[in-house]
Amino acid sequence: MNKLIKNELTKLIKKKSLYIMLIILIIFMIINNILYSRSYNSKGDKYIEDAEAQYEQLLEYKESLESLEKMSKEEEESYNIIIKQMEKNKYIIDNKQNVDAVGDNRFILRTIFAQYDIFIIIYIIMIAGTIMSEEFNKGTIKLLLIKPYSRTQIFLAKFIACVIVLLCSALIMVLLQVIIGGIILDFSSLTVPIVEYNSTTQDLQFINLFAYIGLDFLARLPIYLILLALSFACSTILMNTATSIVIPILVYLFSGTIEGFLNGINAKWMRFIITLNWNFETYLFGRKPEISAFSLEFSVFICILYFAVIIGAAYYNFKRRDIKNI
Amino acid sequence: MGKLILKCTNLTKKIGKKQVLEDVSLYVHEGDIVGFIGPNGAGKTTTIKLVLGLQKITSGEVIINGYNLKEDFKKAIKNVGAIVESPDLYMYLSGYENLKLIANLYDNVDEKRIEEVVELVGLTNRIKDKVSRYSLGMRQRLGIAQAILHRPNVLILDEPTNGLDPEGIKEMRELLEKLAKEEGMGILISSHNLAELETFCNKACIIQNGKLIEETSLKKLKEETISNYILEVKDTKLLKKMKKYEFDIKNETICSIVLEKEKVPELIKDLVNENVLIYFIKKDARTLEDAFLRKTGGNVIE
Repeated sequence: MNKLIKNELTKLIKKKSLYIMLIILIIFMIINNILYSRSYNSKGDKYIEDAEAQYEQLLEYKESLESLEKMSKEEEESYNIIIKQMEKNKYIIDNKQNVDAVGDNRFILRTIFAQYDIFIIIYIIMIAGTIMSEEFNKGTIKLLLIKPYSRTQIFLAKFIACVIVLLCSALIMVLLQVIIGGIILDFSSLTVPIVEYNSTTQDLQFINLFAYIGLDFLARLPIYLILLALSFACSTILMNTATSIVIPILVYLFSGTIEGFLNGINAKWMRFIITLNWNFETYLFGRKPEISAFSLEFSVFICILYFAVIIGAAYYNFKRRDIKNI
Repeated sequence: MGKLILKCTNLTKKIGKKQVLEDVSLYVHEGDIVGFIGPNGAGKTTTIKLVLGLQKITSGEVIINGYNLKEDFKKAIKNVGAIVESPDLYMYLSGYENLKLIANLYDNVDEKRIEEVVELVGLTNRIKDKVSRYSLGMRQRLGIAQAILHRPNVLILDEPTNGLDPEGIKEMRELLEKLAKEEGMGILISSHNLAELETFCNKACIIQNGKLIEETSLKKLKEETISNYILEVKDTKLLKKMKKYEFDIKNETICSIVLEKEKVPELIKDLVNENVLIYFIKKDARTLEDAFLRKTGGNVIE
């Protein structure tokens, strides 16, 4: 099994598309980092002054709330947020670390998937969309099928190879940004922790930047895995490379469209749409979804259900297929 | 005769309602080179695909080295090497990388074995080149290398001489004979080029419209049926009087006749009695192709 996976990865590494994507990504990153360096000036100590000014303002607001005899529920909530915001400002002033900066390497890394994940998506769709169909079309699948491995093993090896590619491409992307951002912007901001307000515990959370990136990746992993599975399944079932690439991209584009309609329609059946459930960023740091029909457990269930159905269909098809004459 | 290593019994394949293959039985022994002959669309490739597990068998069974393909796929296929349709190669990789991929999948193939096989098929100078730069003949050789890399004892080749020049065909023949003789491989070859198969094989199976019409030794196939004889005589007009024979008169002096070997002396005697002056009579050098066309009645796809 390991040998099969290794072979699949060898085949992928030898393909030109990997290097083309890598070059495009690097060029895009360089431009993006230059734009950030030109647009924001994160140097200097001005942020400390800003934090101090904000702290004063909040303090006044806080005192005005305290002077009330009885706070409404909303006022109580904002009172709590004010206290946490003040804590954050105090942290900035005491530690001289700009945790809210937007023009530094850390900011791009913090939002790295929002900024660049289209590259991951396109690349994994390209890989998963061709890994089966290309071998069927060129006839090389026969070479694999007459080796002493079961079809299940071959199927799994190919899928696992795609998942490994996904993980590696995310890792490479982060590394590239660290280096490119480091050269163009700075390395110093990388040690500044991420400060998030947890709305469940109503407390500030301090997280190491790279732990945050890992967490964010995990939260978005269902998006990538579902698209990967879809592309892989199309590739296996339809054996057509072009459709296997186009269909998942359409689904991804559709996910943006449907989200726009969510508040307007809010029909019960809409909660079964995968694209409304696959981004777990909505559940990070104790956040709760705006619409009560969604919950963490429900989203996990929907993601697993879709994944199982898509991969199950592909597996069933692959296992039973007669290799036709070319 | 060596050990029976590939045994297919009553293979039947239906695709939808169409019966593609009916009751095909094939036997390959150690050291055999079996020619699998049939017109286009007869079911040669389908049979091979069933034997290799690439398509599902509707009924019948395939036993390779004592293992049932359906129940014990991995063990059955382990000692099989094959090329189906055309060599399946990754064009964007070099010849060596292609072989390395295959080698990775078996435990018994090391670097030395790869070098050995490359030398055997005569690709040593070009093995580091990308396969996309290979000629068709070189791809065939690489395909053979892929198929024999793991030292199989059953070799199944679908149209292996496609795209080979005469020199290449000769080399391939020598290679296959060597594999059969020295390593005791059983080889099943399908080909449409009958003249070539004739020099390769010691057994032949003829398939038509999904049915096996004959499994026999080549020698027998060539000899058993009636032959064509060519005659040169002084004047062919005289032959018209001989109602007993059906001569095919080509011109004034040349004619031919289809006859069993036993009847040739009688014909000569009759010709002498009729005062026909004979210059020569000779047997038309029949090829496997004639025997084949006679068996199948031409190339008609039903």
